[in-house]
Amino acid sequence: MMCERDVLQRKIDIISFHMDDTRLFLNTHPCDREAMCYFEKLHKMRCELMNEYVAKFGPMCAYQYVPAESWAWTNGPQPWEKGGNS
Amino acid sequence: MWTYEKRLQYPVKIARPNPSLANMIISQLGGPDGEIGASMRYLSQRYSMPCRNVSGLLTDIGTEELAHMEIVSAIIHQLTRCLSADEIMNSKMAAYYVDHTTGVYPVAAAGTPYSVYSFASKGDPITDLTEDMAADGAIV
Repeated sequence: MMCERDVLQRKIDIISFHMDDTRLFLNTHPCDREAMCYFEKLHKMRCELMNEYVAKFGPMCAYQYVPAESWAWTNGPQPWEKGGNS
Repeated sequence: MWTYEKRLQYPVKIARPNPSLANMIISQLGGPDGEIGASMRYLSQRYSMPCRNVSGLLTDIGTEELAHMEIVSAIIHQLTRCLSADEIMNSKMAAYYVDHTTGVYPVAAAGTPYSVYSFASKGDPITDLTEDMAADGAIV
């Protein structure tokens, strides 16, 4: 059973993977409208999911900040720990 | 510059440790066709690429290879968790364990430390792209 954090992170992972490959394609096919629209759609979905993740579980990226009583960047499991990735 | 995102590009969840398997997989980290070599190759070659879309592509691919390096390192780490010294010394990981215990150190399967001699950066786009195809062909 995946917890809420794992479910959110899994969604971010999947969308990011699609964006990683689409970005590479667009680098050499910059006029492909279909790929551009696809990237834009993924970008919007990712922004919403990332905002939700950060608000609930703290920063995932080094430049994100959420007001808290103590510094949260190094909290939570590391991604390479067995329970640290979705 | 680079910035860190605290997640793996692809999840790693290993149920059972296996030091002998780790001793083979570690070549994909520090071996001649491993992920460190791949990232260093693309990130070094991009400066002499004459076309912006290709130098930009090399930045993105080189960056993604760093993420692959992290995935392979996570595999090694999880394959070598919660083992006794005896379990490791009776496995194919014994020689590695003598020098590095279960720390992640980039070596090839036979124990040779990662070497930059496994890739080229010649300042000539055709030469470098041909080398890229040979390198990725070795992995496919």
